[in-house]
Amino acid sequence: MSLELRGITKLYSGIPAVKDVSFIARAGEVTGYLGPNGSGKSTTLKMITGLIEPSAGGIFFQGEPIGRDRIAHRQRLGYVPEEPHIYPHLTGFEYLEMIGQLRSLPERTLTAKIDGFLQLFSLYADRYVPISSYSKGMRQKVLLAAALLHNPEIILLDEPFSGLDVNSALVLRNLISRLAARGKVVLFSSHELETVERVSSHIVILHKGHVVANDSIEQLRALMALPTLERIFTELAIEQDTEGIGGQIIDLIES
Amino acid sequence: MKRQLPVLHRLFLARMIDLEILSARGDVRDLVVRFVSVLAAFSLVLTYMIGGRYFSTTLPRARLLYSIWNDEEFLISATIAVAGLFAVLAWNAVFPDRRDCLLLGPLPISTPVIILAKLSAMATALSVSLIALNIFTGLVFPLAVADPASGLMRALVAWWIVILAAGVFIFSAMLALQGLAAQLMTWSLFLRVSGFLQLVALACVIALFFVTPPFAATVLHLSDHPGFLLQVLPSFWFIGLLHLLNSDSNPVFTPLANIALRNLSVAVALAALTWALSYYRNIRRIVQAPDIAPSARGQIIARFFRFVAFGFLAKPLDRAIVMFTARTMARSRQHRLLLAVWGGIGFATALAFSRTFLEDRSALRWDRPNVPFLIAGLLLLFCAIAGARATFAFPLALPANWIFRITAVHSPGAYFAAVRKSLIALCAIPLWMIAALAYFWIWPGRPALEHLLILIVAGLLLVDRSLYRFRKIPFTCSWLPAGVQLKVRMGVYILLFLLLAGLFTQIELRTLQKFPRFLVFFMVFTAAAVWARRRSAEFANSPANRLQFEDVPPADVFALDLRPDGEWSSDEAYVDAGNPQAGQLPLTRAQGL
Repeated sequence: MSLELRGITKLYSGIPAVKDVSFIARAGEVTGYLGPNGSGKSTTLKMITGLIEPSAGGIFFQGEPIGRDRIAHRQRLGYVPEEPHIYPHLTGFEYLEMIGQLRSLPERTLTAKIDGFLQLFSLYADRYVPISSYSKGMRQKVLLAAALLHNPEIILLDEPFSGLDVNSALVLRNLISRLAARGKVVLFSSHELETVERVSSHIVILHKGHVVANDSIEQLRALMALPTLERIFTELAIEQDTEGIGGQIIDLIES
Repeated sequence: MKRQLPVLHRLFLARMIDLEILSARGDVRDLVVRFVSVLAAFSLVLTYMIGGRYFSTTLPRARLLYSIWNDEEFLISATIAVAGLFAVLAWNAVFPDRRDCLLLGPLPISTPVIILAKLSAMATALSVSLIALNIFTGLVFPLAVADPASGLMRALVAWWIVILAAGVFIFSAMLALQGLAAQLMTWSLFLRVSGFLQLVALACVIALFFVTPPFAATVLHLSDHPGFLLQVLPSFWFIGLLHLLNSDSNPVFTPLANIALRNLSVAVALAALTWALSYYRNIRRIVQAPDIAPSARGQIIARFFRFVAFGFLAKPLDRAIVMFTARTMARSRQHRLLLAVWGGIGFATALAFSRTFLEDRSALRWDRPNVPFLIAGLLLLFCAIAGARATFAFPLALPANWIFRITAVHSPGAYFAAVRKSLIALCAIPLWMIAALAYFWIWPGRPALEHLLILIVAGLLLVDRSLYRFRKIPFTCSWLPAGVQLKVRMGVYILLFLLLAGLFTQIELRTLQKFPRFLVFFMVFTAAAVWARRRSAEFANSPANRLQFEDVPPADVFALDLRPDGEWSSDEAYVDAGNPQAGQLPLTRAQGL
């Protein structure tokens, strides 16, 4: 089972946000999707979900274009977006219940499943509090529960660690590895290179909309003769003189 | 401070309109210009209708006196209604909200500057509304009806003073109501009660406009002993003030002018005091307090409705959509308010039809079937369904609608069916229940039952008609301010409905007298409802149809579209290429052949 992107391009007013991106995310492995801000990571994930259409190229699941049966594709997809946009007037429980119902999950198991998620994500005490009162981390947990509620085959995580406390981040890190071990396709983007290095077996690095690295982490280390993912990433995707810019900002503040 | 004030003024002025409901292509300026244009157009029409009458007449002023008084009352009433509606719409913008506190709190801006900026923004917006509404009438009417002995300029100045005073009074009264509530309650309780107060204020504004009796007849009837009516009708007080400023010696006006001045002073003073206090006291409370949280009582109600939904809706998708719709309408202030405007209009129109009974002037018996009560039920049903349908089109938390796109694992037809059930469950059924209670209480059993059956069929017909070509899940699609074409169409529909409702109830009244007549009438009406149902079902289940999440602006260029299926093409942006005859009526298809 695999998710394959072939020559995906997305143009906004003729300007490419993502250009000719190709890689394969396989079941049983965690694919880390890295890149600086604005490199096109979220755009790629949105194209996989079908929220936006690619300008060129194709996305395939098990060799079939996902557009052939959109409904089947949505049924096997779990997605955590970059921004925690959730209906603020619903409570955590109501939101998850609504998603379960929209996905037509059996009612008998749904309530028990939601309660389980809420307890494991430490949200049970606040299940009847509106989401507008939730912190960013709490919203992130609701999104994670919503993405996993229907036991999806493909899991897309866009900055899933954003806002999570240390404890929850450790739980999530472990969860991602276990989901992959259960035969799911897991594709996640993150800026936390250390976490990506620990969790991912396959790395795709995006820079200015282009894929600049696509290999297993061991291969990348060996090829580039660099010891850590951070060094590899710095080498491939960072053009700026980080130390120099820090100094310039200090100068600007004090000017 | 000199540089902070204009920046904050502009910021607060822009925030008087809720930007979040607009689609990405919506334009706030466009919305404001349209709003001002509508008020100015209304003023122009009134000028032609009212002002023209006085310029063209040859009758002496003394013989037109009662007509002048009634027209003055109408224009002042309209001003009060618009200022009141503005106050209700700006309800959430008059106090600092959480965003204001969090963004402005850490900045080096003093509280008086924030207060001054907020005040100036409110004053600007209110003035623009009042001036737009009176821009033509305010120049023509006072000159047309002025007593030449008092001077034309004086009449003009007096008119504008009174118009502004009436607007300031109603706005201040609303502000004082809110300020008092904010001072007397805890912040969390105030947030919960505030929405209810807003609806009450809206109901009062609409009811005042529609049920205020004619000034001349009322005053002549009560002139010896100014009664309760004179104490509670603001438009009457400000007529008194107008005549006092014009040095009218009629003794009727002096007590009214005194009430106007007293109540204006009290309202302004109270508003200023409570509002300033609220600013100083509440900023910290706002930052610390959470947003509205469902209380234990709220949870019991929520659980009850959940239980009902589980009992009556078999499909999970139906439950999801109905519950989402119900929760949004119950918890979103904007949507509640919009629904209340429609409800208020329906209630006020129904009240206006039934006014003869209230004022004991009717020759009809209220405890027997009669046209005013028949039409009242129909009007309320229409306003509830049309209002809910209009409310469905306004989005809530638009960026959150991605979840509906991601989880769209059913056919669009299944969603449209769920939306139809939402409209029936949340608007039609409650109205039917209230109507059943009311009609069985006031009328004998058989006519009450017969009218209830008619209302049920009418409700279903209205639901199907209003959802025809509606491709949205409620509150999830962006909204563009409607084009002129839609406004004109809507106005025509409402007029047409009022005309048809009048004719319809006349026929219904005749059929209620004999059962065979009623049976024929009921069957014909049911056939119309079945036709509407089939048409909307055909549209909803069209395989080429899909859900709509982004409103599309009207096209700059319209194709002539000379194909036989032309009438289908206006919405083709949301129809995938497929069967071009899908969703068309059999008759239209036959014409194509």
